[in-house]
Amino acid sequence: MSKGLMNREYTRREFMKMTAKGLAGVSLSGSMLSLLGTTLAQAEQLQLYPNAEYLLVFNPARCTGCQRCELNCTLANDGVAQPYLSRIHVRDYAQFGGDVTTEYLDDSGFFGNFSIPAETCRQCKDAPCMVGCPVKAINPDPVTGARVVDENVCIGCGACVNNCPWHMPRLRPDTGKSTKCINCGACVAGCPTSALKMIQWEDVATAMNAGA
Amino acid sequence: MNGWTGKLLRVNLTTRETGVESSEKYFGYVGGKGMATRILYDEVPAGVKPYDPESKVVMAVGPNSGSSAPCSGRTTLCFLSTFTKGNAVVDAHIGGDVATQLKACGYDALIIEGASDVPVYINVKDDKVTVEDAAALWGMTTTETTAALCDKEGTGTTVMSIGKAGENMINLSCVITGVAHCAGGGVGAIFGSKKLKAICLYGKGGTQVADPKRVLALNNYVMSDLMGSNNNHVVPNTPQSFSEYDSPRSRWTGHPGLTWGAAPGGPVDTGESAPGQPTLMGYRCQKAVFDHGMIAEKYTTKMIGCTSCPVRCYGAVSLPQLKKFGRNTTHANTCLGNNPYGGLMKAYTDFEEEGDGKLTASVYSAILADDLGLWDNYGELKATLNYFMDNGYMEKILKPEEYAEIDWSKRESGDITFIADILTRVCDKNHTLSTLAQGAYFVDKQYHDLIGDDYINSAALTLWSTIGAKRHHGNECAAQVGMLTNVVYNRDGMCHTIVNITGSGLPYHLQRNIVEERFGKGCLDMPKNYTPMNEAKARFAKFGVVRQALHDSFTLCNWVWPMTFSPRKERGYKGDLSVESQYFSAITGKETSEEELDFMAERGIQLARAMTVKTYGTRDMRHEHDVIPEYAYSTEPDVPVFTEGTVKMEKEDWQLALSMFYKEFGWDENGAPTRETLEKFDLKDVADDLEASGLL
Repeated sequence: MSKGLMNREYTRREFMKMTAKGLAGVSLSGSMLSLLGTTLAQAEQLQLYPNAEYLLVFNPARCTGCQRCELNCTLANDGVAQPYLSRIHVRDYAQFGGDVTTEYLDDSGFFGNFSIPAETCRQCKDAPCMVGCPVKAINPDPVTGARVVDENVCIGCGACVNNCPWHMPRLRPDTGKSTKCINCGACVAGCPTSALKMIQWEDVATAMNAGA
Repeated sequence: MNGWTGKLLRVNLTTRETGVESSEKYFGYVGGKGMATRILYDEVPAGVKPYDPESKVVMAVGPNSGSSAPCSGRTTLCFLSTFTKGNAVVDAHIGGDVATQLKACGYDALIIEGASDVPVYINVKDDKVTVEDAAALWGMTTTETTAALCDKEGTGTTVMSIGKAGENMINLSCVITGVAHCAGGGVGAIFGSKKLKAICLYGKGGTQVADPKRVLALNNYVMSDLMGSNNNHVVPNTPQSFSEYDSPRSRWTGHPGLTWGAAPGGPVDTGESAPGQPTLMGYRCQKAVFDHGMIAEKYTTKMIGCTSCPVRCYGAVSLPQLKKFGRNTTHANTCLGNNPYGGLMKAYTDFEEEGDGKLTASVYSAILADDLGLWDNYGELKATLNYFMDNGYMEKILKPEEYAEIDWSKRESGDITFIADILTRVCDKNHTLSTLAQGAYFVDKQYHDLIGDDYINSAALTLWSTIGAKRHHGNECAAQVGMLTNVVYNRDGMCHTIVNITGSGLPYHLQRNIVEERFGKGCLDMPKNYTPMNEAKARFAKFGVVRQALHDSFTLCNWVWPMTFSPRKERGYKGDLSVESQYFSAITGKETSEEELDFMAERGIQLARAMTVKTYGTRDMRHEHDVIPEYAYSTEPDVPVFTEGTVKMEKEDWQLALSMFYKEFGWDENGAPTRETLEKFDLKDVADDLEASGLL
């Protein structure tokens, strides 16, 4: 492992230790808040996706539900604008923030408080999608660390979808093969309100060392 | 197949049969409006009325819909007008997720035909299409219907539904999807006549494109170099570090210090988003503040809008004070939709600070109207209700018991429950108030003995035509040019091609220089300082409606497109009017020029005009259709026409304007398409049809 990769991994682990229970109550420096693009009050609701390459941050307060991330994801990766295949899921959370509850007018989503709790892949360490795959079609990419589906091996059983606590992988409607996030960042590039931010670990390290 | 799906979905509500057919024969109409208009022409004979079982609703998208192109989340619904003279063909446009989802389900169009005896909803999940029982939904608000269907069919389901207005076949009713996305034109009442409560869409497919990299590159080009804010206003409304110009009327309201004040966790600053920053452009339009005033800042949660649109023109607000009225406390909409009926009040009671009473009334009325599925006809219904209240006609038209049961003093005292008292009765077919929601043409007919000629011709109503169609936009925008853009429509014109130019925020001389390059000298007068009609204006007006038809067919949002101007100084603020054809080529793989695409879009306009001729049973469109009301000639009575300070029209000049406009379209002096013109657009069968009816 090169020095750069080691430093990146070290920073990632330190950051994950710091944020193990989310950002609520965590003392964040001004530099860190600026890097995350948030205020201290807003930081509590940030959704953090610390993968081996970079820190992905999603801010539900800034998401306007346009779904350009979904369209960009699939156009860049699949050559088709197909929201269902997207590796970031906004659409299913946009209206009611997930399942429709009896208190939906006070819940999240367009019909509630307009907060949109989108979800994307966490590239988990012991990723249930990867561990549970009966044919080992999902493996870490040696360069990015992303858990990547080899569609030539995938048998389309759907175990990855079921095993993932957030059901992030999707089975392609045409081939039945699984597909999931590869950390390409197309979703970030497509967001018109920077609700999604891709932050390099080097920058996180600098902010963490900068203190207040 | 690239762009189009190549499939039409047909659902017959009488038999509950569904079927799929090829859509390829309609590709020459692009899609959307053009495709839907042709299907209606082919399948609904002249003489059918909107509420007959033989009446159909066609909703269609185009090759661009759902492609990821900015503002490609629009769907066009085509049907017979419920509320204007002759019940001729109209189209309505809906945003939200509908376009993306119809494509994802695998269809270019959905044809709804027949009529059910009992309430039903259409459930489309890719190729699984069913007609389901909706008895339990009948009577629900549009919000309740959406929640119930999302709970049953899946939380991500796109639901289009009607409320009480549609169920009770009130002419001015709409279909609602998501929060406040609305297809107007009376289509809600046609749904109601068919006992169709809702449509559900959830698709797993997508829009295939021929050249994905080119589409992504075009997206970046458009969002970096061409787009400004809502209505493509290309300069901010306050001075900013990057901007040479600013204009207080611009909808590019975002700037450092202006926030989404009620964002969860604290205010989000809208900041600066200079050209070339596509990942910040969603902060340019703080529409809640633009529409409601600065008082709305602290109530603004965020901006929302249609799928794929980076502009975000819907101001989402949260007003805790609405809790006491027992309703949802949040709402989002744009422009007139943000205050459809607050103006029924004569006074407002403030809650905590000066002005919050008016804001609360506006949002309260918007929530109420959307839940009822009541369409405002761009302010006409409010104007009509006020006209009858202000002129003492209510007491004369309502039954004594109906008049007595309404507490009219609330209007003066500022009790906003007055708005609910009125609107709920407007949606009750058994109440006389509902007669005022027939559309101005039919209101005038029913009450002419009482109201005379004044109502239909009044400035209070501000119609563009005495067929009952609202001005949206007209002579207030580039004089004859703006007014002419309505002529091809049987409802409010909704053409934004021209008003987006005049409202862009650029100085007049820059606007004029850029558009004169294309349409000729004299095409754009100074605001409120107009000159007599000329041919350059006719070319300009034609361009406006052809592009509008293209956008409604392709589909794109004409509230933002075309890209006439750019926010970039280094481009001389000149936009790029070839972008639609670049997208068409990249998406379909068929290299198509700007001129070829405009020609295809114009085919839909020619067909719709021919259909209007047939429905009206006369070629004399000049005197039966293109008739502007008297107020347009008499406004600003102390200022002579063609001098500075007035937008008034002049009678002979309007006739000249029509002649020049007709000539641009290849129509005769009556304003009707000729055989030669129809055949030029491959509409020989339509010409034959008109001839057989003695109308050619």
